[in-house]
Amino acid sequence: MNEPVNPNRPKTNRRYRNIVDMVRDITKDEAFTDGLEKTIRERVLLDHLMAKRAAADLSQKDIADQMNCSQGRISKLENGKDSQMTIGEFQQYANILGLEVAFGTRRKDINIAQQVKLHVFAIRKLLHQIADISHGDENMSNGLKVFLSEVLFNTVHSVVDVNRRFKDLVKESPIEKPSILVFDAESEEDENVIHSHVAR
Amino acid sequence: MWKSQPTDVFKGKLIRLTKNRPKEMENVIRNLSTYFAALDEGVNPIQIQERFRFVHNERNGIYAVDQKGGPKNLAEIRLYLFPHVPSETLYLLTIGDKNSQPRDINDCRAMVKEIKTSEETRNERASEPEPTEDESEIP
Repeated sequence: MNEPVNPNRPKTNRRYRNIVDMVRDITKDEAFTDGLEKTIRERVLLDHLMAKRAAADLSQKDIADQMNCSQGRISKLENGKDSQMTIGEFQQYANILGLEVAFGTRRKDINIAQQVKLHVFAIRKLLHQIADISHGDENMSNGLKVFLSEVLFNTVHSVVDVNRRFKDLVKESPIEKPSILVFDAESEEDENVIHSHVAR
Repeated sequence: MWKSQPTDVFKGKLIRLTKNRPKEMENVIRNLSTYFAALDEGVNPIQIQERFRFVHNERNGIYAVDQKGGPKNLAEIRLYLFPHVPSETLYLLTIGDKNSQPRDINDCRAMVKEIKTSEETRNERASEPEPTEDESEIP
């Protein structure tokens, strides 16, 4: 027997990571969605700061007190656009949250895959720095070995996780040995370490 | 990572209100985007409501995001949501104005009851042990 239909049952299906994509998909209203996308893009830094403020459990007044301004000023700042905030205000706000401001630029036309590659290179550079620091210190070297295993495991785990999400797609085009591509193992021993982790 | 999941009621209201109240809707969705960023930062919904003035606690785990932060002459619009922390799903329940507020909240409560039941059922199924080889062969 079929289950009785509950009129209160919220019919739902697709889940969205991006709010603008959701609005575009549902409304099919390009003009409205383009305007909305522009508004949200103009507030990337502010959204970031506000999220961090909530995470630090601080009110607008807490920030205002430390920036020597009124709560109204912070409210106006948060309701504005990134372009209306000075770099000084951004730095001050971030410092109150215990954040260090780091600036960077990248080409506009870079795609997501290229971004991933850049991050992999950056991680590799940092790992080399750790290896240099631990050189000659037995305790640090042992710690580094454990840490590298964790990095390797987490990297592989992340790739496997994505792989699982897109399993239908991957069935048609399986991903090849991601660990080798990422870490560019330089010796047979390195490859054995990577393969033992992949096999887990 | 959090994901939003709109209900069919929400979808219908969104289509109608983006046509009739575009300015208000732009501000509400802008605030929703900020709310979403805080969820992604790992902030719990209670803390978000305490720290963001555009979020209202409607009880039973339901929150409402309003249009505040934009021009002052906008009509009051509320977007109702239910953040389900274990599954990191932000259910977007409905949208309404001040006049429909009591009815909207009642509708949201009924929807959340259903969502909680279906989430519990899903969890129970997930926690059931995998059938053994012998059991799986039983027709």
